[in-house]
Amino acid sequence: MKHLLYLALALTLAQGCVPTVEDIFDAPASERIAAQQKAWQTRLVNAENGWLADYYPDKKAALGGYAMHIKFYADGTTDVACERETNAPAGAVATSEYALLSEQSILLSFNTYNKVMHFFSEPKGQGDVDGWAGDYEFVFMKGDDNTIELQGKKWGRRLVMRRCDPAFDFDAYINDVNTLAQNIADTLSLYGYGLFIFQGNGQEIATAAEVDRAFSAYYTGATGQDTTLNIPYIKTPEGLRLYEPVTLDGSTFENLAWDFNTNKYVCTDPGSTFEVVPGFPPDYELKYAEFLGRWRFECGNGMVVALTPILVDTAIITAKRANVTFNMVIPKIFPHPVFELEFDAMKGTIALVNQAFYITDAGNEFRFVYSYLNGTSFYTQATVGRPPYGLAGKWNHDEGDTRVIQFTNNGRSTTVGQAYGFSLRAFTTIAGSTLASTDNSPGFYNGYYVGDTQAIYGSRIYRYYNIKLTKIDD
Amino acid sequence: MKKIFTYTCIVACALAFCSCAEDAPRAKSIFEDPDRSSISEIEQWLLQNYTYPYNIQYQYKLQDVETDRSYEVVPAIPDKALALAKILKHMFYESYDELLGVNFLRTHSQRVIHVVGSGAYTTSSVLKGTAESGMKITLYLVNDLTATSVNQELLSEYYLKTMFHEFSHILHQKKAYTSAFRLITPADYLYNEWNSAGNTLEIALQKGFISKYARDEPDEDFVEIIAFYVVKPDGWWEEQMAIAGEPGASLLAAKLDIVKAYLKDVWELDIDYLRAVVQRRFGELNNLDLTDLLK
Repeated sequence: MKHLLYLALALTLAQGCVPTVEDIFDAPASERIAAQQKAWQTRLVNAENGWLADYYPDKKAALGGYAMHIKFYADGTTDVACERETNAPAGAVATSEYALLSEQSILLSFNTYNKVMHFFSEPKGQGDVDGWAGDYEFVFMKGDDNTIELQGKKWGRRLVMRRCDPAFDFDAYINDVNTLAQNIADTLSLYGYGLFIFQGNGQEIATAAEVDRAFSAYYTGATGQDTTLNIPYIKTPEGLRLYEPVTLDGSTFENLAWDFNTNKYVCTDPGSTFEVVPGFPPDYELKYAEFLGRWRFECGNGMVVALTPILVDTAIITAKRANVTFNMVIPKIFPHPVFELEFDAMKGTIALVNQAFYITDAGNEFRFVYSYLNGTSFYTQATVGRPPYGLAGKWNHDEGDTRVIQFTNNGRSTTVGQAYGFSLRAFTTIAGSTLASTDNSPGFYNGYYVGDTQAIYGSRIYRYYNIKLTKIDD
Repeated sequence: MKKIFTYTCIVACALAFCSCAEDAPRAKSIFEDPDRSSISEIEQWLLQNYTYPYNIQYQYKLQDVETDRSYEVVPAIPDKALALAKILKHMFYESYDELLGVNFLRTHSQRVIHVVGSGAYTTSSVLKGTAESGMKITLYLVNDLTATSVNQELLSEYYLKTMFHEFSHILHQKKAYTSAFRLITPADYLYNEWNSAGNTLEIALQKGFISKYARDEPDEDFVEIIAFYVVKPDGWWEEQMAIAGEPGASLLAAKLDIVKAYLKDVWELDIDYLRAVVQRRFGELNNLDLTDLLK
């Protein structure tokens, strides 16, 4: 009985303690979340002329970023425009809806289809299941009335939005960005610069090629190993703004302005001496533009290298993707295929590697360039995953005032031997069948299609080797 | 009196404030932009036609957390989502209403219809619909809906078969069908291997299954029969039986008998009557004026 009384007393006392515990927060969680949502939305809507956003698609932002102009309205609608063509023309406004959601944190979601925003996320089908892998749901990370930083929920890329002042005009902004970019491109093209030298305090830190909207920077790492760093950026009316600040060899940089007096990018971040100077590395061969034009094409042709009936034609090399690839046609010897040559911007060289052509005039046939190897064996391969075996061009440094490019093995194959030249094959797309004739494909020989592998079949005279290009002065 | 005066002032101030907010000019008039003005119209239509009669949320605003994160998808175009809502109401909801009254679906239907703009793709397949435990059904590829795709074949393939299929799962999960069904082709279920190369449609039919997927497991087999039976045009079932031959056709007939008896006895639902209603309603699709939504 006495125990029960003590127990009752203890319980009474314990109960008495509970109400004195003070709440850490002054409102329940749901109210605090709602208040935060409201605060962010007010901030978004209050920017009457919207926000300029640095939008980076891609899982690694490797393709670089694009400027978007985004306005938010109190009724839950949003206007989005982008500097590049999307499912709407560049600069065109697409209207849809947005919402501020509460998951593990406050989320900005573009939750009905927007022709501009969702262009970057739209799967195109089984061949492209994630489109540009861009986000349309973003977590609020930090911000104030002038700058808001969000992070893509699915792919994790940063989205920085800067408030636009009332006079801001997105069309004029796009025009400024494009005008500067064109002026820079013209300057680079005029001098033929193939790449950039990163400098800090006047010293070389790295060399960098420009692919899409990113620098691919090469430098020697701390432990002496060759290192490559992808540095994506967005174009601005002044120059470039990097996806995030980068530190290399003690120099940190983020904002770069193009200086027309010295023709280089200068870092505008306080205290930075960083510069990006167009240039060439010491063993650089030829600039992209120097490969363009007409060349005398010569090659050996036959079963083995020793028999050398020479074929001669005029090859015409034109630009395909600037600073990345060329088209080459050799119309008399090969009336149909357009060869693709690769440009190595770091070395100033060109390469001819295994590739596929799809020639429509001959129905369902598809054809390949194959590098052919020493001796008598040919390398056969699957339709997918063609390895980049093939030929690399070597410049003669204009010896005797004649510019010559000689093609030799590119050294990419370590297992199947050296490439001396190439062959061309045509196949049917029907497994187990043989192409009846190559009449429509001069220069090709016919192949036999077995499942995923195209076996050789028929004559072996269509081998082309000792390939040489000699520049024709126009 | 002073109190009344004070309150009046407060109310007046509040009203004045409200009117300021409402009248504030915006960068764009809502009437200039058809996309913007159509939004509340959609909400209104969905309230009147889904939420109030059926207690269903027709969710066309995408929340990625509601989808399978292993896929990249984009939201629906609101006009197309509304067009699909009208089609589903006409073809699915009102078909059951016609037979059993509105209370049937109000009680048993999924509570959430979630529509997604794109397909959910892998490198070898595209997902057309998914369902979660009778609560929610997700339909994909809504942005592909065009005026020319409003026909029996495409609507069935992309949306309606999924609706009848998933809803039938709810019915048998609430009240089980006889275990005799599972014993008709007990050895030919493939479970996770149903999509293997060896399981062609022809082989599935010959073994007594109406589709490749029906070979997944007995529950899928059961609801595939209902979905195909109801949405496919006249003569289709007979064609399949001819392909199936024997013993496939007899096995399928035995399964269909169990399905019919189950729906009749348990849910008072005559599947032949349902089928007739659905087929008639396909012919009425032109009456749904979707031209403006699907332009």
